[in-house]
Amino acid sequence: MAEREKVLEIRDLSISFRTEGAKVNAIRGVDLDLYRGETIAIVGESGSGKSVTTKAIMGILAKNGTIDSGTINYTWTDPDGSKHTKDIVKMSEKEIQSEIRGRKIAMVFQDPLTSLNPTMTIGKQVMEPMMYHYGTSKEEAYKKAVELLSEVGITDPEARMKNYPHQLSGGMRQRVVIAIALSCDPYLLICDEPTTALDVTIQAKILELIQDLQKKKDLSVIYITHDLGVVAKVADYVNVMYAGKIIEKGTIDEIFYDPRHPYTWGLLSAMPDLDTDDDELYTIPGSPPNLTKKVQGDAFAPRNAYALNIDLRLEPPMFDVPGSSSHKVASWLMDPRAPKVEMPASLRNRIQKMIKEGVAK
Amino acid sequence: MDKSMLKYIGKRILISIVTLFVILSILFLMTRLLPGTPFNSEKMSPEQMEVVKAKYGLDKPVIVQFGNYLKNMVKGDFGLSYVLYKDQGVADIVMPRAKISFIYGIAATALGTIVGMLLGIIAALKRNTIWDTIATIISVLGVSIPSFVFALLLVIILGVKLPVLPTMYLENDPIVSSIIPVVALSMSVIANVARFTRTEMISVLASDYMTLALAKGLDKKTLIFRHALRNALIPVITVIGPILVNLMTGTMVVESICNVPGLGQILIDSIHSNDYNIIMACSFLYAFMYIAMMLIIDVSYGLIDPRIRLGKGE
Repeated sequence: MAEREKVLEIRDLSISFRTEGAKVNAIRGVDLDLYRGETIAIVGESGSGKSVTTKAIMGILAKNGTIDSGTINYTWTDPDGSKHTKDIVKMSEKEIQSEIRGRKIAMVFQDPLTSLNPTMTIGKQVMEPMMYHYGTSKEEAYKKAVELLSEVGITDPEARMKNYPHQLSGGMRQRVVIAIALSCDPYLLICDEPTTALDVTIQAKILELIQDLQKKKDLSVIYITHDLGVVAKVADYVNVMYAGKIIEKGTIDEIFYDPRHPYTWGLLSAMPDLDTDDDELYTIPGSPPNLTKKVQGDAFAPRNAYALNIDLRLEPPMFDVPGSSSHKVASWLMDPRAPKVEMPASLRNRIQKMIKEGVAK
Repeated sequence: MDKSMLKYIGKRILISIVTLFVILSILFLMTRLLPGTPFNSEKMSPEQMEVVKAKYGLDKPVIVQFGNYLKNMVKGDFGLSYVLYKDQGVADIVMPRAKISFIYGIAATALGTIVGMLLGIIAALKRNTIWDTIATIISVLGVSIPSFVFALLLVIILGVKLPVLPTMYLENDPIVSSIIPVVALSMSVIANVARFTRTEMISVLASDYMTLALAKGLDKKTLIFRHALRNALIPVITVIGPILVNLMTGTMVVESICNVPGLGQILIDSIHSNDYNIIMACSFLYAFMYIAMMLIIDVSYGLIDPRIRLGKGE
């Protein structure tokens, strides 16, 4: 791995929300790295903080949210070749709005049916960011918008420019959302569950489209998802999030074929599978902790069948998995003094099968 | 404006004409069913009565009378006044009054809508602050206090205590005379529109497409004026119709308080005296104004919301 160019470096990010009577510590010390042209996935169940993390990168946290600590260093190269790094946490709202949002970092949202303005033509919505940020003339913006629409696979783009969102199907609308995201030539694309609201046949096409565009434009992509199927298809690196922390990270092969954290085991076991022998789909028992209270020890411990005594008292640090530079796990099971624990046998069988079939790329 | 839009407007106008015709038929039948005749003088013998009735064509069957009425109406002739303004043309009596009532209604609606929207937008943007509270208080007062109370209050304060405005309608100063009645009438419009605008604006601001617009990196002004406002105003426009009906019933009372020579007073007088043609003309004008308003509202709704304009099958 010779020249990996770092785009995004998040260190010790903590975010809390003020709600009525309580403070919710939604993000508790997240570290994240993203390199040029690579794709990372943030996986976790609802409320694990994956969306909040990306909203912080975009500077669009809800009004009651505050960044308590940490840095989000964003690096870009100007057309003249000069490199710049800025900490988004320290930037003012005005600076983020005019320099970062939509321009250097763009976002694709979950529900294409509601994320386009219903009273504005497709053309206007695609043309708007470039006219706004770069002062592109109307004629030029029109030309570029038509190009973009055909690039994202919309047939007869000239006619579509005049259409309103309700005249397009869900898949088409998501393509428009992607075209909008790409309109200002961003470096980083954040996809927040981009296929969750679409039907399965369209899902694969949208994922392929994002991958194609990523290669063509050398984009870095962050996927937020709870769908491990999506992760397997698109990601280079996976970050598993639980209760506001990243509890395991590694390459796609490391996470799918050699998971170490009991929570990751649970997630993989809970993946639906056609040829499994079990009658019932596995679910992780219990529910995520209440983050208004201070978490004592490992947040996952109460749901963890493999929990050690220390898990209830002390939060585990990030352990490096021996023999890998990328695979890291936050679990006391990784401590050399811990008893040796194996993943469940059914999961082991499943992984063996996956390796044979090559599910991950 | 594209073809489908013109077709839509044409269809709406056609429906409006049919509706007006139905209203007119019912009105005509109802006035003839009212007890008594326009000529209630006890001094008249039955024979004299027949002569007078024959003079105005009231001895013919109702259906023939209606036919004649329609024929004349198309020519712009609304008949003669039987009682109030003996033998004067109704059109000449009613039209100048209708003009005043109409202008008051429009002015009050326009003023109320503009002020109400501003108030609603401010309340939504400054949610849960003192501005929001002030707007809410104004809304509650405006909805719960009838317009004639406002009219009386304004007359007392601005007309009597610190006499800056006339308490009565002045023939030679119609604009100044209109301030009190128009402001009084607009209060309920302000209240209703402010309330709806606030609710709509809040739900629009929380919508996904606003998050996407935010993620585009647009500034606050662009977000609100280009993306939020239009979407918030669509539902508000629909409530202006019902608000206008309220306003029209309100005009009658307010007109009589401020002594405005509008439609209200003459309509009430004509009902008392069975002055058929004046009742018909006034009621028809109220119906016409209402339907015209609804038409304008529906068309503007279509102009603002492309989902309505294009209808099905496109």
